[in-house]
Amino acid sequence: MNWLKLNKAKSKICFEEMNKSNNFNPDCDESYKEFKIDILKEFYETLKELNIREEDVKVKAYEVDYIFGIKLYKLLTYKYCMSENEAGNDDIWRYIQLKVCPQIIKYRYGISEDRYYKMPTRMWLETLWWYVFLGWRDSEENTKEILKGNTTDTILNIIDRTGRYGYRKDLFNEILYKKYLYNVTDRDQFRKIMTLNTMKLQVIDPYLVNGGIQEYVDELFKENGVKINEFRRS
Amino acid sequence: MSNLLESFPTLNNSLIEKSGFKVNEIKIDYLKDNTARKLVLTPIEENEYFLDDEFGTWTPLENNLNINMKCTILDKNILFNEEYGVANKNSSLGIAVNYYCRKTNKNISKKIVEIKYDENEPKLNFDINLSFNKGELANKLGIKLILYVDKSFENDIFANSSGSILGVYRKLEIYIEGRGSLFPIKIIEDKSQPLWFAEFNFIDINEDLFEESNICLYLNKAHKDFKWLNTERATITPLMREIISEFIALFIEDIIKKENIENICSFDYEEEQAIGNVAKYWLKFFNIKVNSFYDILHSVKTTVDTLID
Repeated sequence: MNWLKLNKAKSKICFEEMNKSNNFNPDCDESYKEFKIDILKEFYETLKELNIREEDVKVKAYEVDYIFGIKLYKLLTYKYCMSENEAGNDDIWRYIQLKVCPQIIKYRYGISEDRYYKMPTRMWLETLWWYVFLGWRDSEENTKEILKGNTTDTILNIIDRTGRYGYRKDLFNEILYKKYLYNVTDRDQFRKIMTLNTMKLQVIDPYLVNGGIQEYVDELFKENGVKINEFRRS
Repeated sequence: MSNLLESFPTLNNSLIEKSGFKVNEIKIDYLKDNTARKLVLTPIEENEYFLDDEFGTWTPLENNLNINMKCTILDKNILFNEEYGVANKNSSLGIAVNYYCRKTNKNISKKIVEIKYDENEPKLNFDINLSFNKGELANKLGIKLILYVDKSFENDIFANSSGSILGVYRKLEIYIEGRGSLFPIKIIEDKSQPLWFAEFNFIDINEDLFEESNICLYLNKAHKDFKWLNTERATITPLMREIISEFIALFIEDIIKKENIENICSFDYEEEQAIGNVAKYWLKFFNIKVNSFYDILHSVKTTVDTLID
């Protein structure tokens, strides 16, 4: 796929024009026609799976996020071969969000500059791709099971913690997996786990701990009162 | 590493020197048509390099990358010295490589070699091998050689948690895209365009970074005067010097239209490479007077002339 880009300044103009004319179904480049059909198809398949309509998207926000997120991730990564290099390019996402499928972002977030183009860690589709990338575990079924019990707060806690040097993918993957495995559903408890992790990373490298990342994450959970022998039963 | 949280001895410059750490060789290459092609590190500043390809074809999106580093520690036992070491003799330390690419959100560490006290063998040689597939990297790759605690015993004063980072032996930042120049420069070929032009696409001077998508100087290869820019050589021609001066002046003019100059200069930027932070630095460095475009250009040109021969 030859990914087209829209820089921030042009995105702002595009967003303002779209808003002014109330046209959230613009024409995109000819090369994106099939891609547009595919993305919208996945979005509407998600609504069908949840048995909801466009106006219910905000109400079922997280369910839409993770189910559509997984479909989006699969589509972009496997059919359209999006690499990490491309997924890390905000201008590629800006084009998709403003020229290909702006209407679905409106269903999810209304008219929000940040979500459409302004803040990379808030741009909806980009956020979903990276969330699923970090949580992906062997297969779509496993990943869906692991991400199912989370909330929009989980996404925020994970995506907002890029740091200066990027995500430690294996670490976040293990944290999401263990959150599912040990059935951590308390939002405050999870926030504390993530906060403790941020502090520990100042002095400890989780890849270098004896027992590796798995041991590091278990300790993180234990220190926050999680009973790690209470496994979720499938 | 945060100094606020250090409560144990760590690797400092004196210890690095005493231990005799050396990077003997760095080899970088990629595979093209089943043949390994060499890439070269061109120094920019201390620990910063640009990645050069004599064929001019390597890109992180289309090609893989292999890095091999050969290193030596002449006296590893010094790390276990009771007075100025970082561990006691019963503990074991390790060298790891941490590599990161902010643009592709990659931050990984890999254990390389264990270090134990051995009276009979003070020297340690080790190799670091990194391989990246095409599409894994973008913009800049950082590499750190870290000393860490592997296993510790009977420590009162030394770090005792496995995985504790004791310090960085060596850090490299490699610009794999862009020439790592003063500002992003892109060479285009378009008969309809002038010799050079500038694009400023930033909106938020605190959040937007000083990178190609937000600010760029375009040089047009299709223009008849392009040859006078001497872009392939290190020497900056008078014409190029004029272009650089004018580009900087245009940037300053653009940013002070978008944001109050007092705000630009007083703001405490989170990101070093934030547009506003670069402007803040340049306003001071070039001692720029901003009363008019003439004043901006004049102050920039005066400084550039003294800096670039």
